[in-house]
Amino acid sequence: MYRSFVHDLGSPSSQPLSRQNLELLCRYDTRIRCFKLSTNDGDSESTFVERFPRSLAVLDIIANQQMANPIGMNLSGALAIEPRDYTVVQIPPSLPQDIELDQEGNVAFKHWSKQSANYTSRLGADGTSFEVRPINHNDTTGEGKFRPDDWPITHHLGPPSMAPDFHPLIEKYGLQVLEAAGFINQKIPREPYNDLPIGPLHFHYFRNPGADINELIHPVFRKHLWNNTSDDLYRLLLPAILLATAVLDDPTTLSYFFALSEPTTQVQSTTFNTPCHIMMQPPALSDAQLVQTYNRVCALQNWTNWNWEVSEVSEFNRFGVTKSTIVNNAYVQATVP
Amino acid sequence: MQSLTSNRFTYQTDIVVSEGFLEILQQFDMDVSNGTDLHLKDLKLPLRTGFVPKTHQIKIDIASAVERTHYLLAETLLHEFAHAFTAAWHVPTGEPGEPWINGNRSNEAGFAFTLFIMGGCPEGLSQYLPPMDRDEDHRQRLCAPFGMYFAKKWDQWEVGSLPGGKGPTRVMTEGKDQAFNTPHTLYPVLQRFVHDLSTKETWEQQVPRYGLRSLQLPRFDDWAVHRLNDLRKKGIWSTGQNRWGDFDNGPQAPTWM
Repeated sequence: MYRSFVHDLGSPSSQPLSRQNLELLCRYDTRIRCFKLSTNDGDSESTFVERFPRSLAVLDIIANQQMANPIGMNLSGALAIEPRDYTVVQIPPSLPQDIELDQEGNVAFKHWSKQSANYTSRLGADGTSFEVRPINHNDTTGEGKFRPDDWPITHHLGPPSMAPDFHPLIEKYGLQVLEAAGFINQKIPREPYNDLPIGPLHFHYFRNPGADINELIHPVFRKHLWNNTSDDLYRLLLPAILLATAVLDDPTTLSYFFALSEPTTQVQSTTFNTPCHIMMQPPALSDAQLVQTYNRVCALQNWTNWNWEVSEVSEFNRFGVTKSTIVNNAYVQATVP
Repeated sequence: MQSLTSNRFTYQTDIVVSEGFLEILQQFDMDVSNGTDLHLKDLKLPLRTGFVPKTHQIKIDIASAVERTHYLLAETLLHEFAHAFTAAWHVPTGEPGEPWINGNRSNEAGFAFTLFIMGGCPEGLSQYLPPMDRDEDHRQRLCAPFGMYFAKKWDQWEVGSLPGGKGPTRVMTEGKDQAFNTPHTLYPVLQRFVHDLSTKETWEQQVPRYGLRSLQLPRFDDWAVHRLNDLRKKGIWSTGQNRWGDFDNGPQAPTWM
């Protein structure tokens, strides 16, 4: 359908796109790009240009015509968007390697955990690395200086206290360095979630005509499926539910679920002790398969429900558990009604 | 209806989510309405129980911490939903019922799905000091006061069955020794990434253009920590062995690098 749709668009000089076609384009563009993701092939921009010159050309047309943006997507900037690349302080603090001899007289390096408490660190001037210097524990000013021009203790390296069993990341870098590098705090105010068209940009349109937040939520996360959850409690879950909705609605996810539910995408295992299926690479789905899989996901609203409990999960430190429903000492089959 | 011994059918399920999520979000919501700071006190509790002195303290940004809890809850919903979907649509050939998915050692459908979507299975960094309650550690992983981490391979040292040998073995036998002899690499999660999951830019620019690839956790190799497969496990993270006061068992080798 996408192919024929793009074909219908014709040359750049053809009719301006209707609002309906634009929406279609956005939907299908999303889909195609996602299928590329599901094939796990290497890289972004160049591959995209190679494989989808047509959709880029279409985006070009739209950008040139500077059309009104009917669905709130920044299409005119679409070509300029870079894949986001996260940067962090590139070089974490490192300790000078102290060489010492072990009992047999062999050269041994002192392990980080044995010496890190004697060092302090601070973010370098350019923000890409940490400076490290040893602490003078005998300095009476408390700044740990050896020389007057040493910088004062800024971030303590190593375990934050003498208590055992901090996570190895905390044990190594210490809380202050992790914080300075941006792994703990991020001080940008949160955008209110209810302003967001968070999610799919895809099936979203079939069930969200009025941008009603309840309609935005995926059917399998709707309120009536949550036992012992008041309206007030449910409201607190919305940021998580909307994120999960966006993931479930995405065509990448649907192709994954298609492969899970379709025996032809699986091979029988011969390499394991127990018989089981091995799921193969999720395939690119046709329109019909996409709709079919979407309906399979939605069917779960009849076959599962959400509950809260602490004793069941915390025993093995799990965040949740999925159990087969048992009624009258028998499993309940998931059958198409 | 199928008898409890039959396993050639698809099943309906009940999903249970840790009540801890609800308590944390509820407490924070009450703080917002009442102007209290009970949740912040909870976040700081592991600093106190870990005897972190004033000089080594950090400030914990409460909004960042709540974003982490939202993220972990979403991860849990997706994880459990993957199980429920598999139960409802995948006809098993026997035990274990879930299919193996490429790239995993274990056939845990929930983790395999979050790995596929997010590129990892993050959870909160924690601090464990015996005789701390097991629930306290659980709570730290949900409210993640010190940030989050994820493993390069979530199931590298997975033994497959639940502790105590409960349940069927769900791990490949092939390459088991090699997996256990390889260090377990752990990455910290950049808070900016967690924050960006709720921004307009992500959902109106990145996702439409690059799809769910935008949700893949960034990996910073320079910042990774590698756990060594220590056989003398103590506590949960088996760190700080020189501070356990257990010197009777000989010299304490480092458990990470």
